[in-house]
Amino acid sequence: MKQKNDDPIHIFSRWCKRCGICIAICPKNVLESGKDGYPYAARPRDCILCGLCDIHCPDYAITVKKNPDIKEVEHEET
Amino acid sequence: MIRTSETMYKYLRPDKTFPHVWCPGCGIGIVMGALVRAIEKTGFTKDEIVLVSGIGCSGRMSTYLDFNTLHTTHGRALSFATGIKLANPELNIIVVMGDGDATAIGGNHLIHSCRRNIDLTALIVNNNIYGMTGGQYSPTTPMEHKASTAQYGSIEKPFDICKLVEACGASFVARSTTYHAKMLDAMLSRAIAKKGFSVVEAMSQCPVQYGRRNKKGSPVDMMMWYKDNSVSNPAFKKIPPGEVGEQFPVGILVDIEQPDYLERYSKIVKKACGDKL
Amino acid sequence: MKRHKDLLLHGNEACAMGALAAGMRLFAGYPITPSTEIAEFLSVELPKVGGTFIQMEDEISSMGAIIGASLAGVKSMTATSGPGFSLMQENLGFASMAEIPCVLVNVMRGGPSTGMPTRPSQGDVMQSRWGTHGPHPIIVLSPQSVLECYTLTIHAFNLAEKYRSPVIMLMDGIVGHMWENVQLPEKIEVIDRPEPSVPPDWYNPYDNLPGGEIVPLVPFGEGYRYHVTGMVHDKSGFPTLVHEEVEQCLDKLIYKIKNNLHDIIRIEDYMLEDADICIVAHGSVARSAREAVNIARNEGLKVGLLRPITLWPFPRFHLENISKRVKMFVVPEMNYGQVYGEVLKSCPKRAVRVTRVDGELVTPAQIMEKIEGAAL
Repeated sequence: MKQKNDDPIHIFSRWCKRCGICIAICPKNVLESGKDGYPYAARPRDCILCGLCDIHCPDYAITVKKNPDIKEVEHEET
Repeated sequence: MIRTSETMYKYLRPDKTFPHVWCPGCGIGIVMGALVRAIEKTGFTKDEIVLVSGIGCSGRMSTYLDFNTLHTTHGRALSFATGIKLANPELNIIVVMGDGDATAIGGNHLIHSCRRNIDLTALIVNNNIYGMTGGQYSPTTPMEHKASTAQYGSIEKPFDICKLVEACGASFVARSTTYHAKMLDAMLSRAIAKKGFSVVEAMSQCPVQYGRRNKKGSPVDMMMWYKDNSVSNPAFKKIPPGEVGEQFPVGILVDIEQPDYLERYSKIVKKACGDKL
Repeated sequence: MKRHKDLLLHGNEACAMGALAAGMRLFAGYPITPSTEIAEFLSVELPKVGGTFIQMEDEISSMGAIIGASLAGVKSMTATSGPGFSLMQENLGFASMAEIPCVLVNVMRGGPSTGMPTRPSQGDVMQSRWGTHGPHPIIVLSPQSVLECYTLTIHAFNLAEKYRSPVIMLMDGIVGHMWENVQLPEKIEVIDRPEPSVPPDWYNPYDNLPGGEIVPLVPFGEGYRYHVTGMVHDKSGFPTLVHEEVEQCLDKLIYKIKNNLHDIIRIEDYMLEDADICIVAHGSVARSAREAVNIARNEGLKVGLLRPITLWPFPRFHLENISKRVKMFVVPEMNYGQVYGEVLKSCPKRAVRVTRVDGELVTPAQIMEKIEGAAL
């Protein structure tokens, strides 16, 4: 998938196994599965930089880079 | 926030083949990410860490990570680790085992490591099945669940790993899941810093050998099951016994201070040497 | 040579003392007759010299712990007998495969299974060679006296370090429990692990060096991060299934021993120069055999003794040479003929065995019976 420069989400599809965990775990529904099954950031502007996709990717194929305009949110669980 | 992917590049061995060997959606990759974040947090250098693993899917972790790594025989990882710790107490030793590895073939070593309270960190990746060998039932496969050697459903009562190690005297016991990946790295860094024998049970989905056979759905469904059935330990204690169902406690379950094996051994040295010290 | 004063020791004690003299600083073991005195002695002595004694939960973990300790740079040992030796086979194979120096003492008792815990035997000769699965190298030493329990244990550690291999001290229950007045040598040779010759980034723990030179095993924690596995591995230590690399890995294991037989194999001969009959015996049975040689010589029979001190690799070439001179071999053993089989393999000459499995030592008279029966 094409990625814009200001997109906070970087997907390294070479390592991605298309398990879909990142898409499901995103609290803001930012990611979607493309036609090829690889995830892409469909709504990058909605990203709150919680990093849940990053820490739940079993293949280290997705990184969320901080965009200076958006405040980083630490996500608390349970 | 420690970013996993970026941190991983620091700790993965670049000459190994990636993507790694684990099946799509397998939780072991998430657990390995949490382990690396935990180590990054503790601040130990790569040279100060020894990663000992057993045999099975989780045993492959030692191949990928750039520490002093030892891939032992099936179930025996804790005994090798014990020898390393006694020979060089300065080293921080993390022992990665699977559920079959740690509680079936290595069950004896697990309970005695707890009893001895040797200063090691045991990370038990519990996916309720023997994945590598093709989905045979393990000591943590739930009753009536199917496995390649339990086609009619398992008739054996499963172990609760955390209860087991608690009863055996471990100093630190915690449980987390791949859904609670962030809690997992927090538990692990606490466990690594803890003096004495510490155990972290990481519940991890095996979507292929366990999930498919038992109609558990996708890797995501399996992680959501962890989300739905996990309860923080204080809240879990308040659930009336009859209403527990499939729920299980997560978080720190045991955290006690007690002298570890080497501390006790130093007393023996004093006695043996008498006035010479 | 300057000598210590006389000491009254038993074999197990002498073995433990030898280990301490060799620099062994970690012992992990599990109680079992007739080897337990080694653990008992070391539980008292190791803490005094900055070493660690640990009684593990079984023999499997004992073997695991000594491998771990060796990887962390400390010379280590375990001791066991019969059933415990069987349990150690899995991790013994790991030590062979991963090339981890360590010493395993097996004080042989009557088998199979629980057998006769309090009676000696020599039933584990073949198990010490082939007990663990797959092709693997091993060095096995067999002492015949209390003094040798001491000196050969030191030698075992030296061989282990030199060849990065597990070494088995195969004592029989008689040697282990025998008391003798001994003078321990004051000067002993101790080989320690060599320093690495290359910086960390260049280090390949399983490299094939020219001339068969053995790569020093750098202890964990010294900046040389590498991987150790029981899987077939490449020169860097990582698992491989590439045909050439698999072959290289296994060849190297075998040839590091095979190419150094002259250094590893020790034998002792007694009155063999003009012998017509050669007795081949090891351990306590060699003592009976020596007495049989004396009796036979008194009767005018030309009998000599070959005692393999190194049992494995088996001194095949020595036997082949001797077989050119002698007319027959007599092989007394406390089993049904395990060394006997090796003698048959080594030389086409006539060979007879003297076997005993009732938990008693083969006597000189039994050996003489065979010699006289075979009267030439």
